[in-house]
Amino acid sequence: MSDRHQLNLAARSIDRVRVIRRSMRCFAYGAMGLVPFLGAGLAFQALRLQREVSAEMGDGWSPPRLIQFWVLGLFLLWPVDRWLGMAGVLAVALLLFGVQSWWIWRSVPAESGAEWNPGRRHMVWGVTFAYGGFALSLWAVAVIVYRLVNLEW
Amino acid sequence: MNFLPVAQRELRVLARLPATYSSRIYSAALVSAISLGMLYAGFSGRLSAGSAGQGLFLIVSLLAGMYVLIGGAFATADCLSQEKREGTLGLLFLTDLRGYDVIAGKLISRTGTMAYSLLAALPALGLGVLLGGVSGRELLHMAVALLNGLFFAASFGILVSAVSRRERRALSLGALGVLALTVFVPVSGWWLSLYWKSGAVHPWFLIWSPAGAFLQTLTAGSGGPGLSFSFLQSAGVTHLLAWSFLLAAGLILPHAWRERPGGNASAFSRALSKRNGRPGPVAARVRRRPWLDDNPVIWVAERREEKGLGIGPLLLVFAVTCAAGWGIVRHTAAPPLPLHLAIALVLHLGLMFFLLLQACRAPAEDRRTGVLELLLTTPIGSEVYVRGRLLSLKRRFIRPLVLVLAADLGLVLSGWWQLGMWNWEIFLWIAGFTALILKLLVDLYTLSWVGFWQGLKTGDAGVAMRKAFFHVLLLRWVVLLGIVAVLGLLTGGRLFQSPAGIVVMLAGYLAVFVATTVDCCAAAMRELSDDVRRLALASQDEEAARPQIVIRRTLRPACTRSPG
Repeated sequence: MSDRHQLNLAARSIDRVRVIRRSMRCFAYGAMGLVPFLGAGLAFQALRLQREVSAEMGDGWSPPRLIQFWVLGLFLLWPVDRWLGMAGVLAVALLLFGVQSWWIWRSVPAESGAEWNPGRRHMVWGVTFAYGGFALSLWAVAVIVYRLVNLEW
Repeated sequence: MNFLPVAQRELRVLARLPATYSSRIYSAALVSAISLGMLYAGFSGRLSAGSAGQGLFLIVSLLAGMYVLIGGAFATADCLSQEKREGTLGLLFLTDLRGYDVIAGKLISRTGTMAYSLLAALPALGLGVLLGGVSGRELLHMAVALLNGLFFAASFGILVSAVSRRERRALSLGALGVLALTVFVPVSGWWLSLYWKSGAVHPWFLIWSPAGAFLQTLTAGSGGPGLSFSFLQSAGVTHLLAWSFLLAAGLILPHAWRERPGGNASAFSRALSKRNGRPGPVAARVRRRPWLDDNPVIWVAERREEKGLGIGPLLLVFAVTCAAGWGIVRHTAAPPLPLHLAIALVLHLGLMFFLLLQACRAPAEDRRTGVLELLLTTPIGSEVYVRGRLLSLKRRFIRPLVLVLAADLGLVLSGWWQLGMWNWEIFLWIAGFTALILKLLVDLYTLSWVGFWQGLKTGDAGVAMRKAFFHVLLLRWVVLLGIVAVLGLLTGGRLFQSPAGIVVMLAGYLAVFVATTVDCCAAAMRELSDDVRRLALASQDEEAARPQIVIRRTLRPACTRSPG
């Protein structure tokens, strides 16, 4: 632990056990939020936990905007589904999920200057999984709607 | 002369509240989504436009009727009794205010937003007129019946609140009284008409119930024989009855708020309380004793006066009613299987209602009376408190749950007997009931957590019940019907004309059910695990001031304009 962290520890009192527990809960909720549709609620709770933990720790980090990945996914998945079928859709979705996750981790500062949170890494993973779940849900809905609209009833 | 000053003040307060405007938008959007969803899912291609319009009008009117009757009773059932418990009613009567001033103010403050929401949702009922099959006159009659129903239920709730002091009794009496007047009395008339083979329900069972005006409107356009009284007669009688409730409450209130030397309860209640207040039998004390070491909160909850009568008497009344009704109906050509399902659904909803009432009431009362703050200063801590309250709730409802499950098993076996030998219909029957029972268990678990969370957060059992009911039981249907409406629009209704539409709806319901249930449970567990102290100390003003949605910010300039 750096000297700055030592000084910051003495500055104010934080229930560190509570913060660590919430960070781990964010990871667990995010991991379960990876399930499309069914995990959407848990993914939302994971993001709320991250916001609350960051506010409590004085960490200024917030996840970057990801709308460009979601829109890119929508534009890519329809032609891929038409030409390559479900295998192509899954491959493109996983690729976009990987790039999105890298984009989130890229935005995390190395030294936040805030209080030391041992569960910070888990919290960031939780946010990564939560946004991944949202993206997968959105793309899955788009593919299903596309197929339903184009079916001959 | 200052006429009804409290009511004038409440109207000004309502005009400034963002919830007054946002609730109108929500209710109009909700009813529109439900209407479009039902149109695409239920009626697409199978019925003529007129029949679809009639069906839509019927279903939306029934939903709106249930909302105004139950919501209206809940909104006002504890308004005056809460003031009595807190001792503020006496302070009001130290001024020049009369009973009718206080009642008018309470009526407007509690039902104003509901009335505005209802008015905003009424144009969506007009979809039935556009489709055909429903005339403008029927739409007007239904609008009047709904507003009258809200007034009736709210007035009855105020009368109950004027004579009650305890919250649980007031809420239970209000809701059950309205249900009895609206459902039980007309159904009794119907059963008796079947028993007497008279062919029609006697007017006395309908004319003074809000159900009379509803039924008159719904049957007028069906081409059938109709009822033997007019819409105006039924609406007029119920309206006068509502005014009589208010008049009675106004006469009772100035005399009912005072504390009597022996307490405010009746002689019967005093005898019952005396029996309950005495130290219970030795066996009961010995049974409770171990909880004192393990979890003192459960020890407190196991006291007889804390438990009350419970759901047992209601289940008994329901069982006797079902048995009597079955004795009459079995001689008619009424289809038995839908009746089995209806009985099961009513039992499940009743159990969920009582569990929600208990889950919301306990923490709300603890927070309001200051008991929670005291407990949190002791070594007991928040975890023991939450665990104790939830465990006592589960202990209290294990017996009614077993009774309801036994009733469900009886209904399954009865349906099986009716269907005959082994075939696919029996498997479908058993699978459907199994799914219904699993859904009941999941809903009870979710309602216990969410009800407790909302009760702790709001400090008001009625508000907590409404929020928990909406988030756990109603939201999934709203989302599902919205999805169905969107899919119907995108596919031009073709999806729901094919058998795949049913599969899509079932899969959609399952996905939405799991997602909303998990979200509600996760949110409740998250806050109850970490933030009990913050919830206990947060005031309702802070909750109201928290920015909710963008619409509120958009409407803020309109809200802060001073009237006149």
